Amino acid sequence: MKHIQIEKNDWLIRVTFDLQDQKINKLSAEVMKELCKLIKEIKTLPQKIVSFESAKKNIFIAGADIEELQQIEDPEMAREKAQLGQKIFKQIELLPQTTVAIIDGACVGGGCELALACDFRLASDNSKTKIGLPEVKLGIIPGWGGTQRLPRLIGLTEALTIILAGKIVPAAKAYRIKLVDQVISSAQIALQKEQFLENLKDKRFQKQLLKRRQPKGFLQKVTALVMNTHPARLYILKKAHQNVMKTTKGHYPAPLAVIEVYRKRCNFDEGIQRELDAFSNLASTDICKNLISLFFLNEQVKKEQAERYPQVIELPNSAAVLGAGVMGGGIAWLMANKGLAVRVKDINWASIELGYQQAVTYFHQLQKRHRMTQSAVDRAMNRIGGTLKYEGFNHAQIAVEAVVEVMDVKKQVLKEAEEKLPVDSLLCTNTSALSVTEMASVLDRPEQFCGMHFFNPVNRMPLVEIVKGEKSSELTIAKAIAISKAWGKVPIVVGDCPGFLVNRILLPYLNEAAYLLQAGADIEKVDLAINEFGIPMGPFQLADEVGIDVGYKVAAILEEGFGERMAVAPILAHIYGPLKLLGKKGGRGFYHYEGKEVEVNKLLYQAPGVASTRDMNQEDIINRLILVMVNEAARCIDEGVVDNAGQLDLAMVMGTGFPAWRGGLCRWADSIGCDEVVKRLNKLHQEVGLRYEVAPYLKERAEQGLGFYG
Amino acid sequence: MKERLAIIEGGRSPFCKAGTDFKGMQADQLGAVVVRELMANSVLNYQDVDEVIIGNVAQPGHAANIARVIALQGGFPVETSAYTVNRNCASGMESMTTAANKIFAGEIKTAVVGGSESMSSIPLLYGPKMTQFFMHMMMAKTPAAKLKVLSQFRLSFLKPIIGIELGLTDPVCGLNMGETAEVLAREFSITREEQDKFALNSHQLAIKAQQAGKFADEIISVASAPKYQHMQHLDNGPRDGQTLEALAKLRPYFDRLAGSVTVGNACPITDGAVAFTVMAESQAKAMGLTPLGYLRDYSYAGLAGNRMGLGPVYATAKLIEKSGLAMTDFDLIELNEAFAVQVIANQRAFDSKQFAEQYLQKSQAIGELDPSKLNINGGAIALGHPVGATGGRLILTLLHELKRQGLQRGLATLCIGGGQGAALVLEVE
Repeated sequence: MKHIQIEKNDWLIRVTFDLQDQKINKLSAEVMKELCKLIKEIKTLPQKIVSFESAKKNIFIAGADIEELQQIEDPEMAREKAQLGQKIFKQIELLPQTTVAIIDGACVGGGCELALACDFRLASDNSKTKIGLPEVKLGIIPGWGGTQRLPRLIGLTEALTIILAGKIVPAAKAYRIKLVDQVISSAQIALQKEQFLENLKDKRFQKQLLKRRQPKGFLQKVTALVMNTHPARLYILKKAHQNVMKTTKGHYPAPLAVIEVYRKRCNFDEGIQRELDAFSNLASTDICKNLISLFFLNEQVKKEQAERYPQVIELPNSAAVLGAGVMGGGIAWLMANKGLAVRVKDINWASIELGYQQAVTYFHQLQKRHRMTQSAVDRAMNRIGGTLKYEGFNHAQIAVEAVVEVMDVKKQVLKEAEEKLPVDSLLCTNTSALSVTEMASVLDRPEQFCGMHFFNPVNRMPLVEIVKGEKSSELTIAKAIAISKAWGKVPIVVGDCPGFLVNRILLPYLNEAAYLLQAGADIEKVDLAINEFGIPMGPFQLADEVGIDVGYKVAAILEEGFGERMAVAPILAHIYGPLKLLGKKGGRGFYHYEGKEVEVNKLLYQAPGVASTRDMNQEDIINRLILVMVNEAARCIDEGVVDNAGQLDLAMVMGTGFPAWRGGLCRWADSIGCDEVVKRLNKLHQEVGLRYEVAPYLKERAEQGLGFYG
Repeated sequence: MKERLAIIEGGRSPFCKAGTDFKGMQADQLGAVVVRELMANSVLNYQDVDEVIIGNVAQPGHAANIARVIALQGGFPVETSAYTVNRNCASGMESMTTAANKIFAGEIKTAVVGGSESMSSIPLLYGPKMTQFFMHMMMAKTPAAKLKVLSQFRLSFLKPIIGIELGLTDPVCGLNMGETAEVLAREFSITREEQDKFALNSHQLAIKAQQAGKFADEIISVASAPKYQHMQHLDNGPRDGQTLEALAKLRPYFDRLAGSVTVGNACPITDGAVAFTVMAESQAKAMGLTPLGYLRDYSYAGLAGNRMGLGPVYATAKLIEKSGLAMTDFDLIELNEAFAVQVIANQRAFDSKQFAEQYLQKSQAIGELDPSKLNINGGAIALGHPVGATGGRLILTLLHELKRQGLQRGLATLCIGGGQGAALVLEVE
């Protein structure tokens, strides 16, 4: 056959997945058809054992074909697709032979469901071996029997932790929770899997494996019995529901649908029907489509970058950071965590201490989640060397500057550092808004300089804006991209304008929130409206978190760069100037922070220029705050600050917490239609003012009947 | 020695009394920080170094061959070989003299040497009774057998063996280091007042040097792990307000009845690390480097363990014979202050014809330990004595002071627990 090879001897049928012209194995419609035929054939064969294997390196089966998922148009189509898979896997389960999946690499989604349909699962200790059901991350649920077979194998509690979070687990964990029956050495897989198959011929061996799945000892047995009662199940589901609501605020329907599937206690066949119903309802929703499109965007941006910057980059093992503040310490953490030796330079030891503490805080978070041991933390921290001079800079292959956002200081620091660095080293600035090109003007090697803008907190935010200065060379950008990727970040190349991409779009939104406050909006209601829109932190919460001083300075840079369109709201100037409020770090901003108590800073309602009424409806709030971003996004694309709407959307999701389920800012605008966006903007332009003057690009797209994505 | 060993660069951590600023750092971590910073400052690259040799006494259980652990954590590539040396209190010197031997034997060209010790981290051990109890417990298979073993447990089993006491006791003569100091007090009739005065002087000199910023040349600031809440820039042993009265109030520690050695006139147990880059002088010249200084010659000598404090006399006598130098050829002297009484005993023995005749088979006294040349920036009584690292600190402090004063040659010598002495001739250009 084309994608699945079959090989027989007198007792074994070996089914090997090896998709033609593909790097990975996936269960596309074509493959499933082949599989269906094959199973029918196998059913009649006399051999005793069937083993499912993969010929691809580090992959068993990477799941269903996501492109096909994206093409699902309606619930009927979804139902058909899922039902077919359910049937085939049922056939595998019903095979008269003993079936086993031999997992040496990724075994996720549909691949995992296939493995679950087998009698036994054997996994290798390959570090690439990951088993799980990540479907909810794409807005769907496992639809090929996974929701039914998994809890029956490993218990409802464990199954929920995997399915609800879309988790994938390594071999050792899979063995512990009894998801796999045995783990073998990846290095000796050829030998050991044959031995295992050989052993399977013996029914006693099979019995041993099955016995291991049973609870052992009195305590385990009782627990298993209790957990299986209806009230216990309901309690587990209730807790799971609370958890899901806490993390997703109910914006993601898939995990909730999973819980609903389990709500009724039923036999396998009825369960399968419930799974089918839930899957069909989800697979054609906008949320599912948005999540899938974001998944593809990620892949596509990687591809675009690989084509645009094909240079082969040698990764650095020695780095330097200038400025040991929160960002500097965070960046040093990132480098040390990735195994680089890091020199951190600042002008006084107190700052170096802060940098060390920032780094160790992030390491302790990993330690708390059992991702690192104390000695691993010690070793990693030991890679960071704080200094007041530039010693060690002569070895650094990359240096990232993160000193205060003052152009003259940055210029001086960069110039000094450049003299100390090796001639071929990459020099970057972590500025969030200042001109990269202007900084480069003082350098001897401006072509080796670019912006590398990380987002706070560095350990959580995946986005890095790679800012291309006028003189930044192609190689420099290629290096910055490759390095950010190696550090586990998502790089987006952006143009050198005030605020670059993300802050240029986000600051007007924060600024507009301040205008809303002036116009009579309630602080809490604004934040709530935005939370409900799906952004986890409202504009006032965000401003307090970032620090009002920081926000104000960036806003001022933007006003200077873009003029009246970005005029800083007077109330912001008032809070920053006369009131001198700093936000959360100072205990007071738009909110009061006292211990864990947070309440609105009502004094602001009495500030000069703030309307006395407090009424504004949610729709107006959302329109004003989100549309101002859409409008600026259009200008960014028009000016070429970013290559396309896809990259912009990815940046907004990765860098600002814009809800993934909405697919991104441009995708959201497209969902209501560009002509409608223009109409609303026009209205706001008249009512509110110049800040809403429709961007020419947006007008053009609307006139052509197009959206951001065409 | 064939030629001089060039000491290219050197640096050390602050020395901090055990249980204070570095209590959360093991010896490997302290050593690694110093090696990392040494290399960051160095004219050499990691790849230029052939071997890392580190002295350490307590040999922490989690870091067998601690030199290798320090090398890797200090940034060396896996290809660089490393081994640990232990000559008790002289381990920091031993690392350098071993490197000299290897270099002049033509085995290696360049080495990083040094010493590291975390006396805070020396563990308490279970005694033999508790160990046996654990063993029996593990061997007991049935609950009844376990119960039987359990019933034999006595609270006294829990009395620990204090690792550091164990380490500071000479198993051959049976005395701990403080007791050997008492032996010298008796042999040389040294009074409590003399000792306290010496101790006070050590603190005053150290404070003066600290305030003049002298140690800043040799100290590498270290972030205090595991919390990293502060950087340590200075030795924390020297006491600014130390007085004779306060010293006089302390009770003798080792011989509580008739003794004179107190914790005030002995060196404190301490955490610290030191490291150098070294190569042959000829190679340094060929590379156009200006070394911090040179090791010209060295000697180790043995003596009775219960008089181990006199090690410097024996080692220096040997060194003088070997090198042809006289005491007057040394512009400065660093003699480790394990105990005030021990330094005073050395002063007497160095200057005594009778001692030379009786113990060293020499007709002349070795020569005076001129107080104006001796430990002029204070010593271990104030700065502390992290056993594996101290030898290195003596070298480092001596070279910096020679340079500062524009002098040429110095003697670094110390006594070694178990009954040995070390003596090194150090020079600057």
